[in-house]
Amino acid sequence: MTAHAPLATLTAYQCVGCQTITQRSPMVCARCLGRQFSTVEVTATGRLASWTTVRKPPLRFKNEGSYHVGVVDLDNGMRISGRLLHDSADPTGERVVAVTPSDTAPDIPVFKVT
Amino acid sequence: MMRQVFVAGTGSTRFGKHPQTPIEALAVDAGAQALVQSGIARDRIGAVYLGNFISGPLNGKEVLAGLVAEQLGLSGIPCTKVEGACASGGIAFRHACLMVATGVCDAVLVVGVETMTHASTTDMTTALNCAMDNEYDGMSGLTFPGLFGLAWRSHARQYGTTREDIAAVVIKNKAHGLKNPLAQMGADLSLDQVCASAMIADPLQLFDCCPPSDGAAAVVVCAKDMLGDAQHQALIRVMASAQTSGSARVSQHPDLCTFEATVAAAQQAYQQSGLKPSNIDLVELHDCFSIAEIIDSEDLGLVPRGEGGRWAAQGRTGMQGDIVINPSGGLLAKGHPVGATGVGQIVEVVLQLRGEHSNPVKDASIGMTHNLGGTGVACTVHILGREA
Repeated sequence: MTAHAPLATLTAYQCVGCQTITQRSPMVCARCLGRQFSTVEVTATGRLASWTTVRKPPLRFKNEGSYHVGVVDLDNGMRISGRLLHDSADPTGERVVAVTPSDTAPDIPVFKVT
Repeated sequence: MMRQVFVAGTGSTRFGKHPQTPIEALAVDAGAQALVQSGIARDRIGAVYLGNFISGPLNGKEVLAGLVAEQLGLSGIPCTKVEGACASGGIAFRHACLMVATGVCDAVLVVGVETMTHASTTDMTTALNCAMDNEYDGMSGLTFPGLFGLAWRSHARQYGTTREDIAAVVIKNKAHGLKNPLAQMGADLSLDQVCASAMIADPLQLFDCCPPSDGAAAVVVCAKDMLGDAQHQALIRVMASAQTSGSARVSQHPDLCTFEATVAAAQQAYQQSGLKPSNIDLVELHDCFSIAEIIDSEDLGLVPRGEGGRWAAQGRTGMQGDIVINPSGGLLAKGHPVGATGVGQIVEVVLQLRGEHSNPVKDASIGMTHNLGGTGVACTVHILGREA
C-alpha cells in the first residue's frame, strides 16, 4: 500500500431503515433504532473546519511525539475528525482529501491539504 | 409542588497539591466543614451525593460516596457517586437539590473530590480522555487541550478573536486567584509571559490551561424549615438547577464555537428563575481553558455572541465590569480537581452572596455557576440568590 495516497472515497455505514449515514458501524441507529446497516462509499474530499497540533498525547499515541488533528467537513455534509498532514502556516478553510491511513493505525482517518 | 432548596453549609479544602492525602480524606475534610457549618444534625441528612470523575484509573478507588459517608458518621443512607466528567460535581449538586425539592429528603450532603497531581502528564491525559468518545475522536489522537485548540481557531476565524484577547482571560483569572485563599495558583502575569509559555495544543499554550489539582468541596442543601440551626443569617436559595447533555463527539458539533448543552441549560435556568442575563451579578463558569471562558460567556447569554474576547480585553468581565466572571480565579487559577470543581463553584458563589468572599463582588445578590463535562456531553447551570 502506498503511504498516504489520495483516496477516491471513504467507507461509511448507512442505516437500512432510515438511510442515516455514520462514520463507524453503530450497534443501533440513533435516529430510528434500526439494527441493519450497509456500507456506503462517501466522498473523500472536503474542507478543513479547524485543526490543532497535539503536543501532549495520551499514552496510546505517546511514541508519536506531536501530531496534527483536524475536523473536516466532507462534501457530502458529514463532519469527521482525523489526522492532518500539512506544512502550511494555517490551512484552516482549505480543501483536503482523505489519504490512505498508516498501516499501523488503519482505523484513523488521515487527511492532507490539496 | 416542588419545595424551595437552600444552601445551609459549605466546606472546602484548598485546591492545589495534596499528594500525601488520600482522596477520601480530602472529601471527609470538606464534608465535615459543611456539616458543622450547616448546624443540621447528621441523623437529619437523608442522602449523600459525591461528584468524582477518575478515582478508578488514577487512585484505584471506587465506592467513594459510601466510603466518605462512613467516615463522616453517616451510615445507612443512600450514598451515590455521580460521574459526568468535569461536570460531575455540578450534577451531584443538582441531584441533591432534586431530592430536597421533591421532598424525598429534608437535607442532603454533596461532596466533590479529585486527586490528580500524583499522576504523570501522560497518565492524566489518558485518564481525562475517558471523557471523550474513544471510538470516534479519541481514535484520531484528539485530547481536551486539542479540542479547545480547535475551538480557538474556529472562534478566531469566525469572530476575529486574537491571542491578546484570550490572554486577557488568563491575566484576569490569575490575578483573581491571588486574592482567593482556596486557589492553587494565582499570579501576576504579563501578556509577554502568557505568550512565551510552552505550546500545548496549538494555539493553546501552558497558561491557557487549568492546572491539574487535588481538592474537595462540599455543601449541605436543605428545605427551609431545616435552616433554623444554620450559623449563617444570610439565606442562600437555589433559584434554578438545570442539567443538559450534548454530543460526546466533536465531529457532531456543527459549530465549534458553542456548546449546545450550555445554551440549553442556561435557557432552562433563566426560565426556572424568571431572571435574565442582566440580573446575574457574578458567574463562576467552566474556564478549563482560556478560550472556554469566552465561549461559555457567550453561550450563557452574558456576553454578545462573538464578543467574548473583546469584552475580556476591555475589562468588561473583570471585578468592575459589566458581568464579573470567575472572581475566584476560575479553573485557570483556582485549579480543577475535576470532580470537585462544580461543587467548588457553588461554594464560591455562596461565599460571595453571604458577603464573606476574599475577592468580593460589590452588592452581589444573584450568582450563577456553569459546569461543563467532556466535549459538552454534560452540563449544569445553577442560579443562587440571597434572600432578603
